[in-house]
Amino acid sequence: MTNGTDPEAASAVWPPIHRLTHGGRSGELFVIFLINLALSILTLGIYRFWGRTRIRRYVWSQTSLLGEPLEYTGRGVELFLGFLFALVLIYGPIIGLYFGLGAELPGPGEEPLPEGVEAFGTFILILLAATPIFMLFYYVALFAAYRYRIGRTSWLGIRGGMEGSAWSFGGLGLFLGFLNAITLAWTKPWADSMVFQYRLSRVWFGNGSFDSRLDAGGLYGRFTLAWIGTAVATIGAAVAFRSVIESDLVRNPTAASSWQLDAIVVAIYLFPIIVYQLLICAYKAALVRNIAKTLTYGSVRFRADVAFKDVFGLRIPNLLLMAFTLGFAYPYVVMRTMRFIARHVEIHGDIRTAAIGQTDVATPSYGEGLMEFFGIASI
Amino acid sequence: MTGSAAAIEATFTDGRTARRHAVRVAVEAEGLRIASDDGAVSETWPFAELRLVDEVYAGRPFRLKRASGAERLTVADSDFLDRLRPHAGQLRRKDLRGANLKVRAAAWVGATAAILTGFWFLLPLAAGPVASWVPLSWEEGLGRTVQRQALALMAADSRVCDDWLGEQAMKKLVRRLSAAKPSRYRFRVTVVDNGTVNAFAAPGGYIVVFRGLIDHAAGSDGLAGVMAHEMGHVIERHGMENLVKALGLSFVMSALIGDTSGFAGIATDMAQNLATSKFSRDAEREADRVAVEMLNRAGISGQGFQAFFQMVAREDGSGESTIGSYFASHPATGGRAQFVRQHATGAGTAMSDAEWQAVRRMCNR
Repeated sequence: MTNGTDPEAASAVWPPIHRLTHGGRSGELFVIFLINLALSILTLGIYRFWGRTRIRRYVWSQTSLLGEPLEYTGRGVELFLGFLFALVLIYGPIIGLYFGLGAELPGPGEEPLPEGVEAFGTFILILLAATPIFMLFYYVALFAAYRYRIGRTSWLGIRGGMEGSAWSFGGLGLFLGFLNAITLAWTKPWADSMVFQYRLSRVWFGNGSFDSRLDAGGLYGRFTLAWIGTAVATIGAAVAFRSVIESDLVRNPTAASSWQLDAIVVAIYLFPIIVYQLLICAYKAALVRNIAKTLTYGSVRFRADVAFKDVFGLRIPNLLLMAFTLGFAYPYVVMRTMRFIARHVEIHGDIRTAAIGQTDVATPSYGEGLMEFFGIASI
Repeated sequence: MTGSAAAIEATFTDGRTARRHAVRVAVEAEGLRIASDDGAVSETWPFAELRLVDEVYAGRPFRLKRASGAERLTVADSDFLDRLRPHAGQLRRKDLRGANLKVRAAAWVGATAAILTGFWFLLPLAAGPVASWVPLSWEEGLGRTVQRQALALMAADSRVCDDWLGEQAMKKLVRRLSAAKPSRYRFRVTVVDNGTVNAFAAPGGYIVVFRGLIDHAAGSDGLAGVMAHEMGHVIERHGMENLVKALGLSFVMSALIGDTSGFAGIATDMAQNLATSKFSRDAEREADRVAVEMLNRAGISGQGFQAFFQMVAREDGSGESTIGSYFASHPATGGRAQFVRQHATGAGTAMSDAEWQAVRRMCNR
C-alpha cells in the first residue's frame, strides 16, 4: 500500500492517537448568527432553514481530523422540504380528526351547537390520548435528524451514512419511554445505552461501519446517586414549601414581604432541579466515557475521558449562558461545545484513508423537519 | 508545462476513496493545474468551474471543488487564493478573509433592529388590507371555530340558553339591525348563561352575548346598542385584523427564538385573544360609529345604548368587578356615551315588551 503521504502514519506512538481540532471563532459565528436572525425575521421565519445550513457549514468546516476539515453538504431547501413534510404529517391527522368528528358542522341555517361543543371536547380528549403517537414521532424525528446530518457529513470526500429504520427506532424509543415511566426512571441507564447502541452501530463512514457494544455497565452507581439525591431534594422542597405556607409570610402578608415570598418559592422550586442537574453530570460523564470506549470503526478505537467536572463545566455554563442572554450566546455555546469535543475525544489507531471507499448507504433526500416540532434547539 | 508561478503544496481527494494525495497546484493559462509527484493525480480544473467549498476566513486553509464532482482540493496557504481570484471571479463571494468582523456585526445588529422597528410600525398598517383579502368562507369557518372553542372553554360554568321565544326575539333584532346596514355577513348570536357583563364578536358574524349583559342592559334599546356595536366589529373586520397582527407577531417571535413548536399553540391563543376581544380604542370608536348608524337607520333610540355606557362608567368608578370585563381595556366610557348622545337620531324601541321579557327570561330553566 502506498500510503506514504500520510504524515501521521509515521507517528512515534503506536497505535497513533488523533484528535479533532476546532479552528472556529465565536465572533465569526456570531456574525452568521446575526445575519440569520435578521433574514429570518424579514422572511417570517422561512430563512431559518438556510441559516441553520450556513451555521452547520461553518461549524463542520472548522472541525478537522488529520488536518482535513469536515464538510457539510446539506442544503437549506432540504431542511425546508423536511419541515413542510412534517407539517403535513403532524397537522394532517389533527385536521382530519377535527373534521371527521364533526367538530366542525355545516353552518347554513341554524347552529347545532351543543353537539359541536361535545365533539370538540372529544377532539381534545383524543389528542391527549394520542400522546404516545407524539412520543413515537419524537423518536422518529430524532433518528431522522441524526441520519440526515450523518448523511450530509463528509470527510476527505467520503460521506457518512446511516442504515436502519426511523420507525423501528421510534418503536424502541416509545417502549423504553413507557418502561422509564412505569419504573420511575430506574430503567433509564439501560434505556439510554440501548438507544445509543442502536443508533451508533448503524452509522457508516464510507464503506466501513461503526459498531457499538454499549451496555449499562458502570452507569447504575452514578444514576442511583442522582435519583436518590433528586428524590431527597424534592421531598425537602415539599417540606420547605409546606412550612412556608404555614409561616407568617403567607398569614400576614405585607407589601414588603411579597417579593421575599416570591423569591423563597422560586428558590424552593429550583432546588430539586439544580440538584438533579448537578448529580446527572456525573452520570452523563460516565455515559460519554462508555459510549466512546465501546465504539469501534474497523480497527480504530475511541476514548473520551471526561470526568464529572468536565461535563459540569460544559453543561451548566451553557445552560446559564443561553438563559441569561436570551439565546444570544448561542455562537459562543456552540464554540465551547466544539472545543470540548476536540479536547476530549481521542481516536486511537491507524486511519487507513486509502482503504476507505465511498459509501453506498442511501441518504434521505430531505431534511429533519419533524424535529422542528419538538422545539429542540441544536446546531 | 509552463507554471506561471511557483507551485504550491495541497491535498487532493478524488471522491472515490478517502486517500489523500499530496499534490502541487499552479495557476496556468487554461486553469488550475493539479499534479502529484507519483503521477497518480494529474488534472487541470478550468477556472470557470472552480468553487469554494466553504467560506474562507483569514489564516485558515481553503477548500476547492469543481462545479460538479466529488473531488476536493485543500490548500493550506490562503494567499494562493489571491492568485486564483483574478482568473475566477466567482471565488470572491465566499472569500471573507478581508472582512472586518466588528463592522459586520455592528451592521447586522443595526439591520436587525431596523427590521424589528419596521415590523412594529408596518404590522398594524398591513393588518387591515390583509384582513380584507380573506374570503368570507374562511372568515366564517374561523369564527365558528373560535366561537366553539370559547364555548367549550366556558362550558363548565355556562350553558347555552336556547329558549325558543327568546331566540326568536334575538333573531328578529339582529335581522332588523343587519337590514339597516347591509353587509356580506350573516349574523349568528348565541346567549350563554354567565353572569359576567360581556359580549364578544368572532370573525364572520359569530356573536356571543353573556346573560349578565342582558341583565344589566337598560332595556332592549341598550341591548340593541351593544349588539350593533359587536356587529360593527364584525363588519369592520376588527377580529381578522387582530388575528393578522397576532400571526405576524408569532412568526417574528418564532424567527427570533428559532422554534416552530409554538405553531400548535397559535390556534388556542387566537381563540383567547378574540374571546377577550381586546380591540384598540380606534376599533372601539369605529364600532360605536357603525352601531349608531345602524340604530339610526333602524329607527331605534340611542338612549338605551347611552345609558348603558353611563352605567358602565359609573360601575367602573365604583370598582365593581362584574362590569369591568367588558370595557376593561378602554375606560373612556364617558366620552363614548357623549358620542352616542350627539349622533343618535332614532326614537323607536328595539323590541316589544313581550319580546324583551322573553329575552330576559331566556336563561331561566
